[in-house]
Amino acid sequence: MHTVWTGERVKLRPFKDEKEWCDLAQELEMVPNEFWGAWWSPRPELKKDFEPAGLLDVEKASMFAIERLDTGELVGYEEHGAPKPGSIEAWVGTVILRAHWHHGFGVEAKQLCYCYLFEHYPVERVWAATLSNHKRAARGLHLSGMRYQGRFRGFHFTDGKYHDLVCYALYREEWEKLPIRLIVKRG
Amino acid sequence: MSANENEKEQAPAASTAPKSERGFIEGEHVVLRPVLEADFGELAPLLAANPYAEKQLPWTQQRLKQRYEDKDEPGLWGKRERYYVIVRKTGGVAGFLMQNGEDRDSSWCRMYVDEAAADRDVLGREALSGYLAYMRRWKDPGRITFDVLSLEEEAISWLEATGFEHEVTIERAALYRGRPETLKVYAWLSERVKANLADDGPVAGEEV
Repeated sequence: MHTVWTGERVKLRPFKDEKEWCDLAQELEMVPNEFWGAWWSPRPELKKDFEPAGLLDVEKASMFAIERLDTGELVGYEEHGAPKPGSIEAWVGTVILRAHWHHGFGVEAKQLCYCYLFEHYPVERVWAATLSNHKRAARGLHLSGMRYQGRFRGFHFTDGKYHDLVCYALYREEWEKLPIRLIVKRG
Repeated sequence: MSANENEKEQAPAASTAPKSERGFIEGEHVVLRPVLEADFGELAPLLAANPYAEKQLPWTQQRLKQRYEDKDEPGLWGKRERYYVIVRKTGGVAGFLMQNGEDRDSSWCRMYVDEAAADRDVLGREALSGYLAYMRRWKDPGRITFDVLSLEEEAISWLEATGFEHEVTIERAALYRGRPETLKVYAWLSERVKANLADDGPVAGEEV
């Protein structure tokens, strides 16, 4: 199995060490997310997450570092749920440092993760969800090749209102037609 | 009233009535309550028979006991997963309801009632309406979500009869007997949430 997936703008790779992961997570969580709100993972908890296998876990979820190809900077992480035995779907999630938004890094990181999931698991469907007021994230999911599937109403409370959770998915035959398959380098 | 009279009033009356199960959710025919060790024998085959069972290892009494004694979430009553057994008032486990997560606005549930039960329809409807009433009374949920395989027509009819609305249909979401099957998501929303739904407009790729 490969460990690094490289596209035209970013590569997905395992985190180098505990410090790289903890520093990134705390930088991301220091400012509340304007859509999802604040959350905070104490450093001991982050270390505990990293310790067993460097955030690669076939039981729960795995996380890959997203690295810019032009500067080599770490710009965020790509997360995916591990399909359980008998399961035919997996979820993905992308978090990018604000300073690196608007460059298409998140879209390509998702596409690289689709390659990883469809190539290594017998999944029929990869899905992701975001909030209905988070238009940029929804657009990113759509641009990555996913199709809109529907909305779960009133899922998340922000500023006195309940926002819907909007769900997107990519099926195996749709992934097979994505240009990223001809671009991705596995190493 | 003398102490003696008071004792007489509080003493349970001798009863010749048939066995009647108690639980924190009581309907006319069923109760819902947490799992007890005495349920293992009847519950394990029901867990094994539910359409989602093939996503996991087969359910056996041994495996159920292992889950029951889990060091993080014992008793099948945790923050991550919480199981209610559906028990006939006359005795006998007839199904279960699994609540995933305890967040009052985003927990997800699945339910299964013994397919061999002649009164399955009554049990299913009553268990579902009882669960909803219990949650509304004690937990003030904003949203309760159930997902069901599209082939579970009876369960879908219970959800619709209880006020749940269909939200999303997800093709090829789960395996059932070796074939990818469609999943349907149903939700009940409180008046509090309905009155405060944000109008965020359409998102990318959504047909209006």
